[in-house]
Amino acid sequence: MIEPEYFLPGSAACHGCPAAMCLRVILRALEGKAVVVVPASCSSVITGVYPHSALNVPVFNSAFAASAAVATGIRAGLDFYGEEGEVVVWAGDGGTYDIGLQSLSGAAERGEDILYICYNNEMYSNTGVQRSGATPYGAWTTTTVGGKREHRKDVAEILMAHNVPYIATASAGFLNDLYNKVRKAREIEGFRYIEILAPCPPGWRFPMDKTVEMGRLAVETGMWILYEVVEGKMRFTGLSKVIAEGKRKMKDIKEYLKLQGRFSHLSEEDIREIERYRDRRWEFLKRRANEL
Amino acid sequence: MEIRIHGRGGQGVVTMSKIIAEAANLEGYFSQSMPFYGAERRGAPVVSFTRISEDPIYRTSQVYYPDILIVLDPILINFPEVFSGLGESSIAVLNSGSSADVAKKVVFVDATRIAIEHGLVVAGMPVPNVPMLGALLSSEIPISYKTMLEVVQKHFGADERIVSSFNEGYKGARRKTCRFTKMHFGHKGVMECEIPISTPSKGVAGRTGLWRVVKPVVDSERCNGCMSCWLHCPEGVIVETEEGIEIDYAYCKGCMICSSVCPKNAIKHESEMGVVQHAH
Amino acid sequence: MLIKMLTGNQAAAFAAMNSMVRFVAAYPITPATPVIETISKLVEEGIMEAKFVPVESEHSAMAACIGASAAGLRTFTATSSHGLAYMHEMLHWAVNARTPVVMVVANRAIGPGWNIWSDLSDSLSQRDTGWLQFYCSSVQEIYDTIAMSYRVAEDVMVPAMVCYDGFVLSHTSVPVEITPLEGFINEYQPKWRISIEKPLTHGNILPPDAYISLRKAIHKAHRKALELIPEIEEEFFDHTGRSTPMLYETYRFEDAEEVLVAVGAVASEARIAVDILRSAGVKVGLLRLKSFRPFPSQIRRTLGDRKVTVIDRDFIPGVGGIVYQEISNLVQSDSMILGVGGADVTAEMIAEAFTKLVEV
Repeated sequence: MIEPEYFLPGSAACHGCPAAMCLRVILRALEGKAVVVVPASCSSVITGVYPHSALNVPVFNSAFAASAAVATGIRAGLDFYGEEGEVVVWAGDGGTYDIGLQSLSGAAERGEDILYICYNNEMYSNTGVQRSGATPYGAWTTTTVGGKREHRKDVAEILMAHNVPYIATASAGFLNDLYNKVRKAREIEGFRYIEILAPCPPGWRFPMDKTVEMGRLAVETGMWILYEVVEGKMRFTGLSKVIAEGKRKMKDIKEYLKLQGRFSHLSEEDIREIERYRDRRWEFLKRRANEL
Repeated sequence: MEIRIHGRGGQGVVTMSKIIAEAANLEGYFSQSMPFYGAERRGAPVVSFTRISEDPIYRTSQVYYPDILIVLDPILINFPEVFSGLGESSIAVLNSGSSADVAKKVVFVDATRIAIEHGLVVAGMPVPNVPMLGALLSSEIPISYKTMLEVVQKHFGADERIVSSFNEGYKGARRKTCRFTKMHFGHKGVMECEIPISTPSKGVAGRTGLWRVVKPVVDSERCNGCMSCWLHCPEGVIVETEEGIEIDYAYCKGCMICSSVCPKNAIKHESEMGVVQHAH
Repeated sequence: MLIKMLTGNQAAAFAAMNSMVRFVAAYPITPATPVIETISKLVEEGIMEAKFVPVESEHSAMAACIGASAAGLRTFTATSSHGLAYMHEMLHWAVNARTPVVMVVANRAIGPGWNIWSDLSDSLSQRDTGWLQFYCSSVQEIYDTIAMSYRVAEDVMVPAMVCYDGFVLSHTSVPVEITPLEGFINEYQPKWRISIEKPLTHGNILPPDAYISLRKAIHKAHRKALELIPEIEEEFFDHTGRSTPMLYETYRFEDAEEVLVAVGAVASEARIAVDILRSAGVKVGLLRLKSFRPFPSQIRRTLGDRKVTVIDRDFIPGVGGIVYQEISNLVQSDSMILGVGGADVTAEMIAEAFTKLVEV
């Protein structure tokens, strides 16, 4: 039942870090047969200081904007030498949503054989909690001190427009689901994208033992939606499927928001705005799921 | 006067250093607060330097021979290198319930306990810097009670918890003369690098078990072996053995996620610091 | 001997192919575009055995080359001007990563306003990234220099730029000997490469002492390149019968009292200028600087106590000429700036400017 570990104990990750937690699961799902490309992010720190590394797989650190392109080159190298295994980009939402979006889009459009995984903690945590394109409306960050006034964008949906063979969303609250999605992605060739909601205790301001609970609440309240798009066919998965089928009602979003210091200043109107955004996304994704 | 503060990410080392410098300036001194930024995460060791002088300060380097050494993290007291550069006249200000023979003059207070009792806890970690600033007044720092409190309030607000935890640190601080032997540290070897390639290793951030404030302890009576703790552990320190679940305490950081995901409530919180923890 | 009428850009593409390049990632930019068009076609037709990746930017072009090089492939790309500027971050990256990528730069001015013509400030202003830089003066030299650059770069694990004037050389056709290179250059044998089998982490946090050690190692690599290059030139001569200087060369030098120092296409034109000046009785010679990095500081001895004038086809505000700045670190010299922004440079212009300078 228990596979070998590729993420070694004693890393430099914060207490309760979702990036460490999820990467550990992913590397097990890949049985260590992966080259991990890490752009500037918490993960470039978590792995530790030369001459040691917390990862027991090959790792190549990349410049912030360049990870999908670096992965392109590495893939070509592995192919040339006939080495089997995945080239995995392990990037945060900064490296995915913002500075790295161009190279991500380029690699996706070219159909590079890469597994791109974004751990989305909805902010730039490595530089100490600044807003990103993935930061939700209302959230406090050091560059949105009064709460962010714009809703987040959605890179998984942008990737849908790239017609890549596999897209999935996952959450640190459902690690078995993440494991299964990585296993599934592994069986597919071409550009694959998995985005994980990664609740960050110091950044979101919640107790460090609540990472998993927060990842679950996000899905239970419909604030994060689990789905898969295989060859253009979209379907809800896990708890989001149950919600989409109307078998379970979404929890009140306040249950999710009130546990996070970053939302402590929200007004009732702010909360309604977040709710409206959540409902619009559900409508959009339900239409998308019904279309096909 | 040169001050060096040791602590961990999240304990308020840098803020403390800044408050001291600001207060010294209000007392009419030139001052400087200089954090050393490693690539620290929450929980990792952090150092900051403060200089106070009657003359303009031109030094931009780190503090190697501190007049006052402050240790915000009780665990760090066990590391001799934290006390490097202390001389006969240096003072150590420790976050500790008891004294230690680390300097001739030692000031100590259990600031973690005070922080927890006053709810100064962020993301599960006690932040002991305010009571420690109170305790610092018992050293030879040329800052008055009034000025220090003024700057503390400027940074943290006039919240009752802040004022009373500051006062408790101030009043609770004990000063003791200890046995002191000057330590000498050899130079570390030079690290060579031709190609920046590293090899896998456990403990890249050291023995991260030392980051623990709370310790997870498995109640084997209750455990049903579902391995949810193993699945969710961010560090991978939980293993299944013939005897049941085992935790590698050398590296377990004590985030307590294992406890929060345990369906049988079989992982208990045990304090590492002699402080009562709220139950799960 | 295989001789073809080729432009500088085509010669670059053939050199990459014959150097057994296995990976090319590139983004088009005038005047370097034909290099990648040629390679794309050669790959498509199965003549060149390489993976060609048409990336979405120059930043990604260099990033992909770095990844491929680290994964053990001989890599190549081509760019110019803004493309090179956009790559800047990755140029630094390639150096510290120790990935011996070879790239051609068809030199072009940087805007605004838009200017597509020859000007060396694009690559000269990248001098401090740590790349090796060779400036060609003829189309044949582009072919030869690329081949030799791989030998140098891979031996010392530092990337190399092969630069040539946009349009002036990139689009000029001449008969080029596209000598097969097998024997002189063989399939890439990386000293280290990423492999699934080896769990090594490349490029994580480097503490100060290790960082300075790495920078010293790269510095030593430049020194080593200076020693290595003459041996490689000799081997290249044995293989091709062509004597192509990689560091520098002199012309009508022995009895010269004055010296012109120049790089690139202007240095070729300057030979004629020397002839013109000589026939007017001026005892002038030419030192053509080919290798800007590694910088062959031995030219201080070569220049001796002759009066030196440096020609720059670059004009850096507040500084003047970059080559002049470097040469005047070695010897007292005068500066002449010609051909900036693609202005045509004739031998007569050089001779006239030189005469005026002497008069002043």
